Amino acid sequence: MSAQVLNRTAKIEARNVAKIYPDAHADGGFHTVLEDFDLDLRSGEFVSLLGPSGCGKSTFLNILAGLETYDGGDVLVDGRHVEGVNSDVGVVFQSYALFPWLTAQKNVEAGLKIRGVPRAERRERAAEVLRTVGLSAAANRLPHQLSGGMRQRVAIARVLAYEPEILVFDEPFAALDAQTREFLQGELLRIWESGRTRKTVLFVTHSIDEAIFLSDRIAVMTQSPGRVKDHIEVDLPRPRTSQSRSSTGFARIRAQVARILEEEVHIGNGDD
Amino acid sequence: MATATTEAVPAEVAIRRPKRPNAFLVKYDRYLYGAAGLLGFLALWWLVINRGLIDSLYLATPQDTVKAFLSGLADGSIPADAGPSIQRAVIGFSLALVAGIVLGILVGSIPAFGKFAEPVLLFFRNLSLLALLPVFVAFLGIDEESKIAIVVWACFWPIFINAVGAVGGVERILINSARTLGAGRLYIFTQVVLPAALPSFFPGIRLAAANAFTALVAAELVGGAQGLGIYINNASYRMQTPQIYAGILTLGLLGVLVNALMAGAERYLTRWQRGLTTR
Ligand SMILES: Nc1ncnc2c1ncn2[C@@H]1O[C@H](COP(=O)(O)OP(=O)(O)OP(=O)(O)O)[C@@H](O)[C@H]1O
Ligand SMILES: [Mg+2]
Repeated sequence: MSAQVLNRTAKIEARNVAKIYPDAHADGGFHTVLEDFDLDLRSGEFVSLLGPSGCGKSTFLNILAGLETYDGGDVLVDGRHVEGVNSDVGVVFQSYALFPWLTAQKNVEAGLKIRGVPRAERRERAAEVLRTVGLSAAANRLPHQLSGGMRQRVAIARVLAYEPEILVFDEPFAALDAQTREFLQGELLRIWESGRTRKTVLFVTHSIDEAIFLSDRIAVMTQSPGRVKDHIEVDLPRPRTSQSRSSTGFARIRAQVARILEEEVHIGNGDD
Repeated sequence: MATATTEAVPAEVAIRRPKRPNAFLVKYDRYLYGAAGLLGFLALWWLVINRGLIDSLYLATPQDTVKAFLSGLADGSIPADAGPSIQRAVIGFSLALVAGIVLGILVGSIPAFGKFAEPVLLFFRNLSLLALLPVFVAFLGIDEESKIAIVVWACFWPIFINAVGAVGGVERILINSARTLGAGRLYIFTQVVLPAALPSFFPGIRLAAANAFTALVAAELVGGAQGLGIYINNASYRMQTPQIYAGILTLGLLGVLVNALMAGAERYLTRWQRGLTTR
């Protein structure tokens, strides 16, 4: 597997990735979190990474973002090895990770400010992105003055603002109620589908329905040590609407994914 | 039935307005209690001398103290000595503030630094200032340098020790999210670690501000031309009891002023936290 010619059309390529953590009980033991982890994403593809809790989804995502090192295999973005943080990979963390001392607007401006975008331009751009996520009215509020769903939208706006080519999401909607969650899934799709150039998206989730609704493809992981066990193409037409959720195609894929997951662990088959 | 009972009761009796609290008392409550406490203190002070419990050779009356203070202000003798003291305190405190925070962030965020520095820091952090006075004097003489150095020393440790701990408390995810946004070291230091840790810097900064004058007066008592410590010392040589207490009063007032400034700075710099914490 290692000697094969790397597929040049892939935006992201992960080959035989291994990640080992030393055991907490300092007796020289190890804990293999990822082993033989393979995953490719084509440019502009929306892929969900689905798997039982603790299988290493966040670990891979952090490796891809350059926040974690890896202990074997290759992780390439645009054919180049990931070494350190790559600012072309925008990350939306599970816990929002907004700067609590900055207003929504200033949070969204952060990535632009770091890139040296002049003040007036970044204000305009941030206001535009906040409008896209429906938060113009909350621009001058601090994160703790926003609801959970609003904070998550600010976090999404913050990565959208500086236009990284790759977006990775780590269970961004996990902490939200079902209605807000479905609403934001719709918003995210609308923004992604209407983008000038389709961004490549890796979306980590626990929820089968969320994965189907959003993705072109679902990669299902095994329980520890984690690797990608199976891929399911989601051939539902785009743009997707809330009707897509009740289509027969949706139900068929859900049953298929649930079967694969159940073989792995019994984590149920709906939103959790 | 219910209607019958309501009708039986006259309207004016049925609605009893709550007594409105006295607006003046609500607003000035704190000051009134404070003023009463202060008056009580002054009365007690006056009484112990008036009754002859303490000789006015050792303790001046409040009137004499205030009189000495006002005439000291009027003839310029107190400002002449307070000026240099304030200047030394401000310079020393500012140097310590910058050094303490910069080094605190470095040691706090680079684990190797912390490991190297720990034993040395453990030794110095609680070392008595008074024991070090002769060392400072030996190296720097009794002029400005040694006095400012002592203030720096006294202010540096609380700020630094506190900053190291505060930096350790900054959430990893905030730093990671800044890194993925493309931030470099300098941006992370100044725009993430500093604001995130700032609220936790303040206990150390306030302690340092309080230390500044204490250390300074100790240094001035060693000698020198001008300063509040010297003012008090000279008054004591001349047995001018009211002047001694006027000097102490000046120091006390400066302390109140410093405290107010620190509280104001803290409120301003951590204003984003309002509503987030119980403060
Ligand atoms: N810094 C670390 N040190 C040691 N072990 C770690 C560390 N980070 C993660 N792990 C372990 O790696 C495994 C995978 O963790 P990871 O966070 O990637 O799981 P996950 O798939 O994202 O789970 P979840 O769906 O619950 O978020 C877990 O068993 C976890 O205990
Ligand atoms: Mg996770």
